[in-house]
Amino acid sequence: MKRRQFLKGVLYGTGGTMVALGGFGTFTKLAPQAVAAAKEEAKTVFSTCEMCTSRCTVAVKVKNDKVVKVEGNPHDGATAGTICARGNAGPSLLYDPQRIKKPMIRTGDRGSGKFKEVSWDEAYAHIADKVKTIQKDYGAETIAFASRVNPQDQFFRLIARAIGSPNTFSHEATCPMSRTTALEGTFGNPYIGADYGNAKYIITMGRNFFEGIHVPMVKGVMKAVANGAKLVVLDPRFSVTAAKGEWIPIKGATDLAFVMALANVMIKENLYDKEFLDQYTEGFDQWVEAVKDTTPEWAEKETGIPKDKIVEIARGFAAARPNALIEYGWRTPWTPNDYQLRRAIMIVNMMIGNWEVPGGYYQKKGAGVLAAFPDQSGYAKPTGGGFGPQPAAPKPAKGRIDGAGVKGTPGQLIPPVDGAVGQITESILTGKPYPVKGWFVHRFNPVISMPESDRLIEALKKLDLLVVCDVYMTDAAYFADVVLPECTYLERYEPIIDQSGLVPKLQLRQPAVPLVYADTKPGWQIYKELGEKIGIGDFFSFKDMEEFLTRQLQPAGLTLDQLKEKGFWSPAGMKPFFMRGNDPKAPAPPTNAPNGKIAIFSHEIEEAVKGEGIPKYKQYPQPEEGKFRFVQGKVAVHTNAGTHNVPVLNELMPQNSLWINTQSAAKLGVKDGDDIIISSGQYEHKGKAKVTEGIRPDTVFAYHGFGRISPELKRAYNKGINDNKLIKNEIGESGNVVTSTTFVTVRKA
Amino acid sequence: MDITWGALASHEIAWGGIIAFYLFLAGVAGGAFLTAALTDLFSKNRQLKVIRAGAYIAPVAIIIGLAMLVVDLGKPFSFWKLLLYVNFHSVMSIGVFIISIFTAFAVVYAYLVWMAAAAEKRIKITLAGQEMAAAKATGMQVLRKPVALLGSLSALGTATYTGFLLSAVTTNGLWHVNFLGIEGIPFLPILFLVSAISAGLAATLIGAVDCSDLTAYKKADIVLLAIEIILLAILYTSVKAAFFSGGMATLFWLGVVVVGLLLPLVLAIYGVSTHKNLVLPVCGMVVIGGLCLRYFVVYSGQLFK
Amino acid sequence: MAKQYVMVIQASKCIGCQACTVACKFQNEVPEGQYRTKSPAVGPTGTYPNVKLYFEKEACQMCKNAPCVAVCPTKASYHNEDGVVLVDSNKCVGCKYCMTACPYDARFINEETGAADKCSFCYEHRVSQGEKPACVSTCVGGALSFGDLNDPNSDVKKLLDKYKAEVRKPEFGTHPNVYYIYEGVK
Ligand SMILES: Nc1nc2c(c(=O)[nH]1)N[C@H]1C(S)=C(S)[C@@H](COP(=O)(O)OP(=O)(O)OC[C@H]3O[C@@H](n4cnc5c(=O)[nH]c(N)nc54)[C@H](O)[C@@H]3O)O[C@H]1N2
Ligand SMILES: Nc1nc2c(c(=O)[nH]1)N[C@H]1C(S)=C(S)[C@@H](COP(=O)(O)OP(=O)(O)OC[C@H]3O[C@@H](n4cnc5c(=O)[nH]c(N)nc54)[C@H](O)[C@@H]3O)O[C@H]1N2
Ligand code: SF4
Ligand code: SF4
Ligand code: SF4
Ligand code: SF4
Ligand code: SF4
Ligand SMILES: [Mo]
Repeated sequence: MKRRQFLKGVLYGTGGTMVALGGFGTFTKLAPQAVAAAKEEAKTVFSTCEMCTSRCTVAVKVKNDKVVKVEGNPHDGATAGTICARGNAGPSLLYDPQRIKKPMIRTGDRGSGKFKEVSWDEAYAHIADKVKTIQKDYGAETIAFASRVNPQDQFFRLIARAIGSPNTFSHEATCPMSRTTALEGTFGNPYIGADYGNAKYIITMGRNFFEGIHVPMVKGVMKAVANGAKLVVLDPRFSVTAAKGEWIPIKGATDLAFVMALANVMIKENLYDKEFLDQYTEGFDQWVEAVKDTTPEWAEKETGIPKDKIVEIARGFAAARPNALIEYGWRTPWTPNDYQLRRAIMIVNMMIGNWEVPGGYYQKKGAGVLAAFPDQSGYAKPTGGGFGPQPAAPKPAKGRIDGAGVKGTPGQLIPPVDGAVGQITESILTGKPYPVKGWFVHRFNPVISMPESDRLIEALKKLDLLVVCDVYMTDAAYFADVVLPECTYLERYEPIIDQSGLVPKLQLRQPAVPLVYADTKPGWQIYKELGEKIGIGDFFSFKDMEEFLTRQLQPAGLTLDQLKEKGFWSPAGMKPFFMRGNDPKAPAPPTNAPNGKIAIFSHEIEEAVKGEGIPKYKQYPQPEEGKFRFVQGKVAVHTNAGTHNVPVLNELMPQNSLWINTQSAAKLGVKDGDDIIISSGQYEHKGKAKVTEGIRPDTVFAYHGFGRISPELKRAYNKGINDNKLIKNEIGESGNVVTSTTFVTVRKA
Repeated sequence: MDITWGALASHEIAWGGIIAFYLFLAGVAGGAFLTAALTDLFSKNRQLKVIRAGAYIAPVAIIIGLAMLVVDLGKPFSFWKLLLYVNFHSVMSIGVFIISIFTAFAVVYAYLVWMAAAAEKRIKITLAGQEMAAAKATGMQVLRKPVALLGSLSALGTATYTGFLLSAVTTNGLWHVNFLGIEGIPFLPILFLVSAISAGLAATLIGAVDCSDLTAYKKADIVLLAIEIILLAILYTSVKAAFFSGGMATLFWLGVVVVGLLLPLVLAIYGVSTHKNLVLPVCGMVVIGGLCLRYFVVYSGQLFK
Repeated sequence: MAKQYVMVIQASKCIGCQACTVACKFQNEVPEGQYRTKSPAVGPTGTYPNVKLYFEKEACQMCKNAPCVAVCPTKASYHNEDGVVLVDSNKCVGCKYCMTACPYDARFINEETGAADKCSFCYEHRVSQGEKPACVSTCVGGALSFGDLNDPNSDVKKLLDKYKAEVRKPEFGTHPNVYYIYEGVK
């Protein structure tokens, strides 16, 4: 109870004595504060944010071993010392009493929520025991590992490697996987960045810069817009990004038609850089052939964008060349063949020669890339590995369940480091190609993040072992056998984080304060200790993170203290390096590019799936009358499936609702704020309607990550709509999930 | 609402029912005191019951009112700082002193009235020591007239202060409205003064209901009600219509106008000389109307500013 | 020379991210459920597909002619030497008179202290130490500028010279020190 309310209660209720006592209480309360202020010891710890995986640099303000505030790192030009709402909310997560504080072992049925707190030793022993049994009964490959990509993956994945499981996955299939496939197929590597700040014309196909926040990118795009750049936003709903540019409400799942029509116009009107294409790329002729019929008239029918608008955009984009870009996307799994959209986007980009020039795309400049340029190579040396010598790992007995990376098969399109994480659900339930019996989950919440929550939960219930390491009792942890409490990013070291862009940049994460809950541990320590228990301790041959980091930094000629100083390192005096910045004819091959050329026709992709070497348009159905395409997106104040229970952020936005166009809602008799039922045919979800002019009449939209299933997330539980309850678990052509092809109906509840 | 961008800063009502009630009680206290004191000072037949009722109601009402004010403070235990730190530009700061002075007068006056009454009783009941008591009582009674006079001034101050408190909020379209648009003559102090006297008088009459002849008071009441109706008509035409919309419309038309003014006026005119048993309903309605008026002004002013 | 601190808000650069909202809460230990500032959306307005929307940071407007200061019975609300409207929570009794007087709904009673609370331009802990206010330092969109209008080299002076700026509710004659630039959004 708040003090004031208490006092009031006293005043209303009992008489003078109590009042006097209460009054006395307020006076005495002042004393300890004054004492605390007197011996206050303040410091700033430079580190890296992890409220989302944009991993901005931060300056953590600490007083008497308490984090009082997290701020942007003023030394970092990329963020200009700013951080977003979630980054600012760090202390709220750190001190949240609802964090998990002790390891837990399940005691009731899966999903009953019954757990007992145990010691770390008991937890490790329990896991080691189960792992051995599964290894013996089914083989190590039946244990899958999935984590959201994070700096500690090295430790997590080492467990898999050391026991002989090939089945390691990241979250990427739910996120940028189709882009990764496209970039690898086109440039030979996915480490391609965009120089938004200097662009004069930016077209974004659903990349929602101002809500799907990456602070340096926001800064870049905002700089461009402030300098008068044109921002064209194709999105079926009116995002904040759309509000800052020209909104083109494209029909969902038709983006590729628009991009191919741009190419068609640019070729017809000779608005492309022929010399660039000759020098740096191969296969342009096949592209010319592929887009000869994809006229604006045709694309108008597909996309709903008037043909004149398409021509206007093509001309505007080409006129700004080469300082223009079509954004290649981040969260990209709109359709099963989404990777072809990303390929086409990059091809049209290359048509204006926006490669390695300001306002265009570039190869990220880590030390390894700089090594090839004598005048740049002095700026940085590559970092090393943090592990000591490693024993040989056992060879997995079987291939991966998703066939990722197997040459000459469609699986070749799936990057094997990431994998098609949706396949885990399928293999558990169908036993194909072989059953999955155990699942380790780290810093990932598949129940909310992956499609078809109910089916996923059904799969989880069939597992022999589910281990979840998180900071909350998440919707996945709720079904686990063992829950491992990690400490937060403000309490731990992590391996070096490489955030190189146009210059190399190495970031540090370091503890700002001692552990808030004594029984939580950093991930590296958890997996090292677990490894020792399982009998694979030899693989973890480092003492602690100081040693690990020192080993990493030594080859680069850097020390840990040096990184601690500002929290990150970039070479002093180095200017943003564009390979073609000064000389548009300079050699600028992407690292690992096949034949040293940018592949407009990709032999690699052709090898995987015949006939797909050049992007082809595939028509997906549009919603018939009465149905709606269901799309989703990020909201500025929450992260994916991660922050909805963080007190300050929950307070800002405790739930989402379903956006529906005013006219469509009127037809259904639905009013703003009404309770509704959303149905995909197979699944239903209740929710609230947000009636708005800012969405296509054939589309509905919800912010992602709400409608939480774990009752232990006391603030977020059962609030709002869990989009993935409604979406089918479909595995796209590059292993991606598919999130923009689900149709739903809406009715009043 | 779905989106953080929908979440506007809260348009919280700063002053709620407690303050409205406090303003009402301060008015009643002032009006009751005036009724009692003016009767005491100027009436020939000095209706003792009226004087007593008014004299007792005033301190009780103002003390309860002040208690409510204190309870409504964010920091109830710092109320004394209102006396320590003074801002002569702030109506509230000045008002605190006016009310304090009035409270003191109200208490002293009530005490004097009570002593006289007690002495009178003792004279009737006990024979022993009657002279002493009577002497003591009369000794103090020399203060009664000055207290009544000065107290009346502070009561007038208190009743108008409740209006000035609101009218000083220059950014409030309802509270700050001027009388007939005349710059420098705020409307609310006039309205609240009339309403305070009317409600205070009504409350006093309820206390003195078994009095033999209340005709003069009833007539005064009718006049006051009539003036109030005119004032409200002026208010209605001087401010924007929004103030009389929504739930506030009901409160105004039903509570303030019908219950508080029209019905009592009709009944009062009807029962001016006869019908003694109409005093209670008429006065009851006037009091309720006075309360409704404070609620209406306090809330509507904040809701639709 | 006395300073004239002002904040300039460029609506076109505000992305509604609420970084300011959260930064302010931690900087000023604003209790749960209460805010000194928020940046709500105005809109969407218009009809599909021609819709518009922008954000507008809300907080105390730092009126030169501040009704809250005028009505405060204890002088807890005051202008400091640099023209910043502040609340001395020690003097404040929580009477809420200032809240009724503020035309911008900028004030609230802090549930922990019981005193009136509002944006302070972060005067005590940041601005007087030569730092920018917490919201300005963290503004992701770059919409917020802060400085001394009497300093010809300040960002705020340059912005106000360059663009047409508005104050909110000028009809009340409060003369705010917070300016809004709507270029590109209205
Ligand atoms: N605040 C905040 N910032 C974040 C995150 C977060 O959760 N919150 N997450 C981070 C992560 S992991 C990522 S991947 C990025 C993601 O950042 P973005 O890639 O920008 O992702 P979303 O916000 O999901 O934006 C997807 C947009 O695409 C639209 N859309 C859906 N289907 C289609 C379609 O078929 N065609 C077109 N043209 N548009 C479509 C949706 O309406 C939505 O506006 O953001 C990162 N930053
Ligand atoms: N339908 C639909 N599905 C989507 C999306 C969509 O827009 N629509 N978005 C997709 C995208 S882009 C992505 S990237 C994925 C993201 O999916 P996830 O990776 O599952 O989501 P996150 O919120 O990033 O984080 C997952 C978990 O990490 C935990 N966590 C946070 N900090 C720590 C820590 O320090 N240690 C440990 N061990 N755990 C921690 C959080 O509590 C949370 O449970 O979701 C995808 N799913
Ligand atoms: S975008 Fe925000 S939450 Fe994500 S890393 Fe940066 S500051 Fe942290
Ligand atoms: S905005 Fe409100 S609180 Fe701020 S100075 Fe003006 S009147 Fe006072
Ligand atoms: S609440 Fe505090 S600051 Fe506001 S008017 Fe009352 S005493 Fe002054
Ligand atoms: S200036 Fe300081 S107090 Fe005012 S809104 Fe910004 S952060 Fe909050
Ligand atoms: S931090 Fe800046 S961009 Fe974000 S909401 Fe606040 S004012 Fe707008
Ligand atoms: Mo993502």
